[in-house]
Amino acid sequence: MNFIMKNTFKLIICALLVAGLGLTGCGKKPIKTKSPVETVKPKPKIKTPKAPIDISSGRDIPEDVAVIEDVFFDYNRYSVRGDMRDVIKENARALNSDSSKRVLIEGHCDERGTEEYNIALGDRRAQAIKKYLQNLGVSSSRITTRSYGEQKPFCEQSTESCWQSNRRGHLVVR
Amino acid sequence: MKKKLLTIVASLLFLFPSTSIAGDKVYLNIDSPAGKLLPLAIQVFHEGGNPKITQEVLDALYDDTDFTGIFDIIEEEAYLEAPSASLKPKDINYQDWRIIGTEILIKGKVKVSGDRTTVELRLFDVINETQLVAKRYVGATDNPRALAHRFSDELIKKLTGTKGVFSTKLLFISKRSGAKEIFISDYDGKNHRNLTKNDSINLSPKWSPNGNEVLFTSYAAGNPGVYRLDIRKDNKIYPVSTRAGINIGGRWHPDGKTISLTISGRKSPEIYFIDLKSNVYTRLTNNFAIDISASWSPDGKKLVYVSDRTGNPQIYVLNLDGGVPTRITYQGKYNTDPVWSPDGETIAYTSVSGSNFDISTIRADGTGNIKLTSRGVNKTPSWSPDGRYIVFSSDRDYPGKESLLYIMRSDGRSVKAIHTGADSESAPAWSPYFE
Repeated sequence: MNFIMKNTFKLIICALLVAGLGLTGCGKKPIKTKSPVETVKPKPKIKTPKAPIDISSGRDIPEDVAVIEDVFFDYNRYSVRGDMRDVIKENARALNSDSSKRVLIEGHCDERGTEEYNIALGDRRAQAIKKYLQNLGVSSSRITTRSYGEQKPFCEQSTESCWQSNRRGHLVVR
Repeated sequence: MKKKLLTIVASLLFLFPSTSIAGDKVYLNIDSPAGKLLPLAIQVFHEGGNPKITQEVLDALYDDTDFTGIFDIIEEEAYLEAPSASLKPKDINYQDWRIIGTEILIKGKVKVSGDRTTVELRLFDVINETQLVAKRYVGATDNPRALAHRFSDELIKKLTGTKGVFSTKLLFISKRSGAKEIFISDYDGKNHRNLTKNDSINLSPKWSPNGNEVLFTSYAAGNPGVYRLDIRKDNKIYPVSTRAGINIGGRWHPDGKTISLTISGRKSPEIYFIDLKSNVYTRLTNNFAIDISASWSPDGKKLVYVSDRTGNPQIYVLNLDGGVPTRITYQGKYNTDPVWSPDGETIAYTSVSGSNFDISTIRADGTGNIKLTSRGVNKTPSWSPDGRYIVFSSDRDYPGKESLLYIMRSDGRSVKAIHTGADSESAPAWSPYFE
């Protein structure tokens, strides 16, 4: 389920990139992206008028909808990075706009570590995001955490972009 | 040359039959890199029944003696004496064995009748024409190697003063299509089988001190929890700790009554003890750092664990009688998975530097740090119960693709791959001696 969702998400992003930016080769590493953060972050919907999904479904694009996004970390660190604060604020806004929503924060790590430490590290990452969300008004009762350490990587190549992609708090809204 | 070697063997066998210090000293003499190998002949007589079983016994004797690295095994083609049903010392033609250079001789016979295998094995000092060991083993026909392993244990005890590890087992993790299951095998990787089959992620298997139970971390219920299963009884899985947050890295106290583990709850991951009888939890650490992988010294008086209080994971030793934790690793930014040697002197661990993962050892006081590996991603060391070997996982033969189990001597020499036949293997744990 989770895996399928992730893959579907990847496909959509890929389709958006192909349509919007004229990139080719979705199976390969994204070209000219400094970090996967940029790759994963969904582009503003207005800027991708050619996206086939929007055309075929013909649905209205809601204005100004807060989006839940994953939060990325530095190697072996669990403090929230400066460039990720806005991401968490956006997540908090999304969660605060619909109090029926609950969120599971999965803590993930890259493979350059050992199993037990990585589970602890993933736990700290998930907890760090949880605390930040709480400070922004999201009730702790709506947040659960689970650390997977290095056990469920998003990307399985030994490259920095891949490792960065795996160092994340993955937010699952339900 | 031969005379000198003989003297070493003789002193080994007769002057220091049981004192382990003297035994180790002589053993090292034989086993030093420049040391000569002991010429060994192995001859097993098939006395009836399924000859495949006799062959399995013979193969296991070859494998075990070869594993030690202290013998030069003489090929069967060279043997002058014909195999015989009589293994009595008076019937041995020592001259026939000496001519082909034999100094140590294993003679045996195997008889299979119905579902019973009877194995008689004897060890001779050919130079001094003396019988050193004589044993008869009776077992089922399903695992004849186990009978040979018993004899090999005795053989090594006779020659070195310390019992062999040939009847011990390994626990390890095998990964297949996303799931990680716990497996058990013989010390040499043979006879592997699943202990868990829950299609979940199971990690960090550890032996109870008596070798009857396995403690491990599992995602079977969603969040990581610590569980146990009894391999001597029903193989059923029982929860030990499944509190909120993470429950990971359970290790047994040498007395088998308490375990250590790491629990996070709403705080940072801290080390706890659980009294298994009363189920009372006691928290050991209380800080803002990650504290994990705590394991007791063999005498139960000290704890070694990993803390990232300095910003990076490093190894600390804590005297449980009182005192403050002492950091023992200062080389590198990432040192984890500490395990005490059976004699309590040395700690083996995984040292990480960028993408390099290696097995290192360091004395418990922080001196004598040695990196034992250099090729591939090497992780999770575990000591053999005699302290002579370390098993670990490595992807050295399939870089970035698959990790296998390897055994090396505790000084890093003689690395051998263990082929269990299971898929990608990791997190090996060497059993204690079984009673």
